[in-house]
Amino acid sequence: MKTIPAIFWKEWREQRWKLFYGTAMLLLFTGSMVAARIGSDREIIVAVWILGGLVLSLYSAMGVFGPERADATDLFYISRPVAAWKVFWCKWFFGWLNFAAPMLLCVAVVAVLFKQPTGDDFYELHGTIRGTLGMLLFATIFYSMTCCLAPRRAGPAGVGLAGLVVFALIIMSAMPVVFILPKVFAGESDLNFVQQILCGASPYMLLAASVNGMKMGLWIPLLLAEQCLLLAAVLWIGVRKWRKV
Amino acid sequence: MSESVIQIEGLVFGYGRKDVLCGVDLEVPKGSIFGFLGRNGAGKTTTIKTLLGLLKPKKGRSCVLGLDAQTEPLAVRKRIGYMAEDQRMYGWMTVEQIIKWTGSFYAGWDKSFTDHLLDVLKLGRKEKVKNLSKGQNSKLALLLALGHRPEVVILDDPTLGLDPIARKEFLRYVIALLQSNGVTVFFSSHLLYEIEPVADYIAILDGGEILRSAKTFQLRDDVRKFIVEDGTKTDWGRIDGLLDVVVSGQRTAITVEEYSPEKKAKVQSMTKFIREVPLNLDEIFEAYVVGNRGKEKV
Repeated sequence: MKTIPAIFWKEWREQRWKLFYGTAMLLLFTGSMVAARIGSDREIIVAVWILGGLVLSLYSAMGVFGPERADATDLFYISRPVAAWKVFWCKWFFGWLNFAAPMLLCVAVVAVLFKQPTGDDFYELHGTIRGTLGMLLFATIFYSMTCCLAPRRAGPAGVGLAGLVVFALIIMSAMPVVFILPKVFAGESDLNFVQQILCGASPYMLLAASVNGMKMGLWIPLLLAEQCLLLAAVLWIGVRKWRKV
Repeated sequence: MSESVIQIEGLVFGYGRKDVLCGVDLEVPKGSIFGFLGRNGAGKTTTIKTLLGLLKPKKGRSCVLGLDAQTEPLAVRKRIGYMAEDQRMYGWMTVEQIIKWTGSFYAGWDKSFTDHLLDVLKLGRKEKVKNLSKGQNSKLALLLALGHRPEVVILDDPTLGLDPIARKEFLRYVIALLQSNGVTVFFSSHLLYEIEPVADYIAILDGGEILRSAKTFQLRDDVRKFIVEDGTKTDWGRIDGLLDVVVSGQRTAITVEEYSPEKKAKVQSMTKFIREVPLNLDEIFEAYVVGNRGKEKV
């Protein structure tokens, strides 16, 4: 076993059950909603986005660095002759996989099930793809912020709490955008309040919203760049924290 | 001193404004068993972590085998074996798995040697790490520190949490495995009796400073206690190298370093001399760390 395969092997062995459980739970939930016809096609997909993008990503973030800190195995790992950033990326990637894979799988299943138009409920395929990507990117930032900005010695519960704080901060920081958005859309949109918050929380949601024919001009590249910078800064903090003992 | 494998110069490290290490200077000779003594919180683990390049000092430098631990931490870690105090490892792995996994980080991992160590240390290959006793856990941590046949082994309070029997057994293994191979051992502990029989050199760390660093026999020869009669009115500050003065009833015990017949004569000239007492390492350590330097105590 060489260094990178060894790091991957360890992470896979530690994370695989979370991946299986997450996928099974999300599929079960989606299947139940579809079978019971509790909501429209659109509502079912939004439910998958919220569960996968918020709940599962928070759960994944709790299991990345927290257990290693709580069990005090981090010193044993860090004191090996391996670059801290390599370990950080592998851990981050497997945590990301834990919510991204179930979410993509469930959306794919739902998209196949809803491939035939069923009237007004039909959620257009392009919109589903863009919305899924938007939510996945938002979840990536939320997940990264949660596991990288949580207190250094926090265990899984501490990371979970930090995630809730991060989520509250994201929503709060989105508030001004919520008031700006109606002006931006200048009456071209029929977004409801929740959609406005989501657009404010993550501009990637605007990609989804833009499917409805809105013209966003420079806003999208600007907000995308802002989010990329934010993600880069958060990951940089994460690597520095992981390096510390 | 002969060739040094560990060199620490003017090391200052602190968390925020509080300095944990206040200018540590240390040299560890090649092939020696170096005992690094200090009370809990003295800065032993912090010093060791800077040697591994895990902590960045405010000032000073630490080198291992000629490599700067701050600029080449991975190169340092490749060439040393490190066992942390109360080392926690992955409980879900089996002994065999953790050996294989750890070995993947070292180019020179010696599988036949680790197989031999498994037999010597009587560790079950298929046993889960979480099911090992404290003593077995320490043995496994030692095996993992030695698997790549390092030139320097750093053991940070390796017997912490072990019962006296397990402690003795563990030390016996350490000595048997390392001394014959000419490996340099840097061994931190707060248990004096643990270090005394095995260490060639000893350094005493307290309050982030090295109070004394010397060969073990030299340290034993160098520090003496004089018992004198009623020394309460004597100005003991006139004696160079005074470590401790303890007044107990009609008698006073004076501990000094850099012992010499001249120093003994000087004490004899100051008050009625009763006898001279050699000290064990425990007492020497106490004199350095909690000695009142002439400010009397009862």
